[in-house]
Amino acid sequence: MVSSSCLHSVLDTAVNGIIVIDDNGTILIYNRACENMFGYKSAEVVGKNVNTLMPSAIAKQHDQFIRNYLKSGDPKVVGIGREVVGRHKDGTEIPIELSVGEAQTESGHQFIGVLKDLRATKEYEERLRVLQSNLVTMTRVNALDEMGAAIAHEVNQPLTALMLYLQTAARRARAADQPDDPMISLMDKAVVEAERAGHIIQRMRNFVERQAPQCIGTGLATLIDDCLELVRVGHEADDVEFISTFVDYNYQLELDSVQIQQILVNLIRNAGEAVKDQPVKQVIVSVERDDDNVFVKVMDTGPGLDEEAVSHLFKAFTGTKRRGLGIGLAISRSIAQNHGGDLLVEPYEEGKGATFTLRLPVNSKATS
Amino acid sequence: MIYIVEDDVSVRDAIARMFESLELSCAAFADGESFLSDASPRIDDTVFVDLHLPGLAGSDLIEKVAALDEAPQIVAISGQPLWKITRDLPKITTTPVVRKPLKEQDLLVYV
Repeated sequence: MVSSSCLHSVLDTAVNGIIVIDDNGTILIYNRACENMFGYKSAEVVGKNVNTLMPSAIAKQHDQFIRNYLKSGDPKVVGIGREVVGRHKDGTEIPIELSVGEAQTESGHQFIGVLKDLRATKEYEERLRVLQSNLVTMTRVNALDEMGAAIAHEVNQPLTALMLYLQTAARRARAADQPDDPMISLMDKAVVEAERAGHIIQRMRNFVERQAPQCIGTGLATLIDDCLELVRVGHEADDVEFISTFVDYNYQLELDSVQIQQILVNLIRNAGEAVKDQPVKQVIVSVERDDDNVFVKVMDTGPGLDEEAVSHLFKAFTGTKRRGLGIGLAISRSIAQNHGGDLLVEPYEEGKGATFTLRLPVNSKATS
Repeated sequence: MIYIVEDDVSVRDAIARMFESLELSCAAFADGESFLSDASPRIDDTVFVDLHLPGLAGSDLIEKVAALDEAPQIVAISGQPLWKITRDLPKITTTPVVRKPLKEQDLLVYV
């Protein structure tokens, strides 16, 4: 037989909250983990109804729940366990994973609850969700920027020629022996319209160029860890190993962490896809440094990329994936270049996977 | 004399016609190589150079021309985004840059 003091020490050592109630809902045992979880001391709640620890809507019904169970023997939580909401002494609600067991004792029917605090887990999930939605937004914004810049550049040439032809023609018309006034007026109007088109392009360009990267000192190792974390979420089912070999957590780099994260997540995610059906499923992120640059390498154990594939890699809209526009790498490269760096793929080697290298200048200052 | 080095055929033609209509004598080239072999710019000439050229890059051409004895005035033209311009023109920041789309006034201020 275990002594009572030993039992109490077990209860107080447990990481999870443990509560024992009788068949009236009265708290008999309330361990130390519960004190941290709910803010009440053991002396404050032992002897009280357990519904003290519940939000009022559930608290009102809890005695009925116990009676229903004792009458019907039909378990809603006993032996099953579920996610429930508790209430802290300060009124805030706490997500809890609750499992309940029961025991027949000399002093009657008792229920034993084991409670796991889900607050940290929930916060973590929320943080991941926010990070992911930030990345999605960034991807969209950058896709628009990229398209805007491409259109602006392509339209610039014919627009420049059009404008100069029109201005020259208008001047010639004016200089003629018998000026054709209606004709001159038409040409002047055409010049005004060409000018309007030019202003639209300039505004679009100014908008894109104003969005200079937000450079702040960022711990590169932490940034890489965060990226791996984000990608792992989508790869829980298939046993792909995502590894970072860079552990210099003091190393800081001036960069726009959201944008660089976007590039790395993109690269790591692609690598994860590439190794999915391989015998060895590994994605390794490593860092090399020289005086002027930092090279972040994303290596995979996939089938590699042949020359043909490499030649299309960075062009927009040529992706081979069923999902997506195939603009990920094109955008990633332009973000890298915006930081004064570049994004490169190592040449194909028989029997080796693909390696992408993100080059970033040390003390990287935005060039735009 | 005004020189134009521009690979886009329509833009090149439009600029040349514009100067001709003002009775300014000009010569146009499609790339830096033909300009260097056929033209002999002098100190009171102006050379408009598109930064985005096939073969010899616009920035390299500008450097070569600027190094000539009696170097002419050089003006860069570009339709590229700003970060490409600043990347291509790191050292020769004194060269004025005219960005496309442009009007005749943008070029005429230099001649």
